[in-house]
Amino acid sequence: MKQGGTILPVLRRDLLVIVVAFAASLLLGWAINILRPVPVAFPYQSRETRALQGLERTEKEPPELPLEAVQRAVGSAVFIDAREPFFFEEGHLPEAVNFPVSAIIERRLPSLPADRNQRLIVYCSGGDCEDSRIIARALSALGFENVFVFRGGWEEWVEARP
Amino acid sequence: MGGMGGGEAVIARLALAGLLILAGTLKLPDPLGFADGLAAFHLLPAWAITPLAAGIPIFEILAGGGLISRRFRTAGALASCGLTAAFVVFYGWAFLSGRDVTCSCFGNLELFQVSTTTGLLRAALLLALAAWVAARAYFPPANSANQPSSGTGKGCH
Repeated sequence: MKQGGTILPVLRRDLLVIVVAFAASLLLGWAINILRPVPVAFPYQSRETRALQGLERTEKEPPELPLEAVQRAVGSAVFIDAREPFFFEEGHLPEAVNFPVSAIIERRLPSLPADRNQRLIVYCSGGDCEDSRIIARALSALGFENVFVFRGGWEEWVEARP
Repeated sequence: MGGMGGGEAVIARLALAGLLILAGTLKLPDPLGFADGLAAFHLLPAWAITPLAAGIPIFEILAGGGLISRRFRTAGALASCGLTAAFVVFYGWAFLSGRDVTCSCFGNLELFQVSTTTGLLRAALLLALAAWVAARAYFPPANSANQPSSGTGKGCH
């Protein structure tokens, strides 16, 4: 590219190259995906769909608990942390068991209480995080009768700390 | 050598190329992990996630290869700007939405699993690097040692 010359022709050429390369990448990626032993589904299936596949489906949404009820439950309920291990290791509720959605998709269940009536309170980061609801539904499908969701999650727990 | 300016540009370009190729290579074996990461941002429709999860890693490798080559250097630089800008948008959206997201942008190695805030900073730094590399590729200094049209020039290697 010459000094002082317009870059427009170069830019046009580059944009064409990029479009062709991107299209070729999508096609090649698609072909590779089809040839995989376990291809990624099209259209994409959410983690919730994959997690609950094969489990007895329940239409009942798990009840939610406010922060105060969760704070009172320390020592009596078992907290289930639905976040990925990286976030769990940064901090979690007292004695929480890490049970991310990826674990249930891969059927790697953590050590869960033997008593199916044990109160379980599931949480994730808070806000728009849906993983707690997914894990709660999976736990219900696995036979646990007393499952709740702490919607405020880790964020609300941390904000309430003195 | 074309002086410190040329050397810095080469190092930056090769570092960016290396990062892109690494990112693409790490994502290739696990498209489902990357698809879940893209879905977690809640920005893309379901029909777009699978093809993008399958294709973006390959595009990253091509962009990195373009940065290394002579012929496609400017195209590689522009593509890297587009890629990094897209991830700034994605992470920025997650940050504003208060979501904890790991996009698996560098595969599933625990070393590269970062929080939303760190991911946003990482993407922003990469965008700044890509923009600087692109600026140097399109507007090389007025120095005969750095004229890419002549092949290399002394300052380019």
